[in-house]
Amino acid sequence: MDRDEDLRALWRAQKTETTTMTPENVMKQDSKLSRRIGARNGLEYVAAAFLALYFGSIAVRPGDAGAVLRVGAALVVGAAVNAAFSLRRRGRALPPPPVDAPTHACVAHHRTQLTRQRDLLATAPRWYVLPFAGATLVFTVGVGLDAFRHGEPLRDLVMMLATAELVVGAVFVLVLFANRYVVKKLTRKIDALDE
Amino acid sequence: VDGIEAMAMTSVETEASLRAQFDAIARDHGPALQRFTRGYEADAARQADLTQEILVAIWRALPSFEGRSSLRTWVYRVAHNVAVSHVVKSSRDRLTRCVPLEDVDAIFALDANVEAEHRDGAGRVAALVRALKPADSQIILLYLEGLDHAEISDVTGLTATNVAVKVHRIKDALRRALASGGIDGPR
Repeated sequence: MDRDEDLRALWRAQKTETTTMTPENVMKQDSKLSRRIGARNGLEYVAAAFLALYFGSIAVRPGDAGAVLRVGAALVVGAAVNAAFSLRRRGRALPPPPVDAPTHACVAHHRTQLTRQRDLLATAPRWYVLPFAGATLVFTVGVGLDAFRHGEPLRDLVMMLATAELVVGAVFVLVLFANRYVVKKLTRKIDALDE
Repeated sequence: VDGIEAMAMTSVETEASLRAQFDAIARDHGPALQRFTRGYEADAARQADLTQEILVAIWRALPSFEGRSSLRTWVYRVAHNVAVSHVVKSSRDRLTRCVPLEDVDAIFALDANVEAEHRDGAGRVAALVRALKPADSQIILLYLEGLDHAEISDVTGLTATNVAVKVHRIKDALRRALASGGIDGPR
């Protein structure tokens, strides 16, 4: 036996379990997978709808909410709609090639998907961070102005607003750093797929 | 009514034929698919998940199998495409830790998780295969399963000459890496 056959024999002598997958088991797995994907997509839409309804109601409901607060709430809704639209347009998964397509077609598909995800994240400051940061800034200023109208001392309000803006700012800075990390990781994955 | 009955009969026959084909695939290629997943996943539970994922993909794609290639090469093509998707989507950075062929000797030193697999030679081969880029892993896994250059070419879409060159280079790299510790474990 030559050395090549040695390597092959060694590989093929590995212990394997008896395959217990029947068509019934497979169909069960298949529908479980479809349900999981459906549930995940549904959850994303429910979260977006909840955000839009909550801030939308603040923007339009009758009451003594000030104009700045209403504009801020409307801007949050706009930012959420814009983010959802951007995700759908530029982040949506492309239809995959048939599962039995030649490997290079499958690898090319994954490369395109990873590149789309990387580009989407790399531009997140423009379509996600800036609109949300602007909207939450206006919204929190609106909350402060309304509280001032209701007699809250100015010094307390300034402190509250500064703290709120700092926390919101820190969250967005974290989002930016996380994005940069993921962009680097995706670039490494893309490089690894390149021959 | 006759037409509807005939269609129903055909559909039942098709379903029965698909089931029979699937049973034959699971029986004849199940062990090879299990070995195949070891070239992509270190963890036993994830290997089992990946095997199931591959069998689900085969079941879904079976009606579109037209017999233009052998069933064996078709099964391997589906298996590799599913495994590559699995690796790309993996959150554990498998893809970013791939090493070029010339660095594969160092993999036992680099990856502490490989330690447990040193005990058996096939485990060492599997660890080395996992360290390669997916395209190289695929070629060597197909080679180890006994496919010839033409069959590997059919699965990958590469030319047979290209396959021959790559098989030769990958085998050399594997031999070098295995020789550094011996096929039965590090000396």
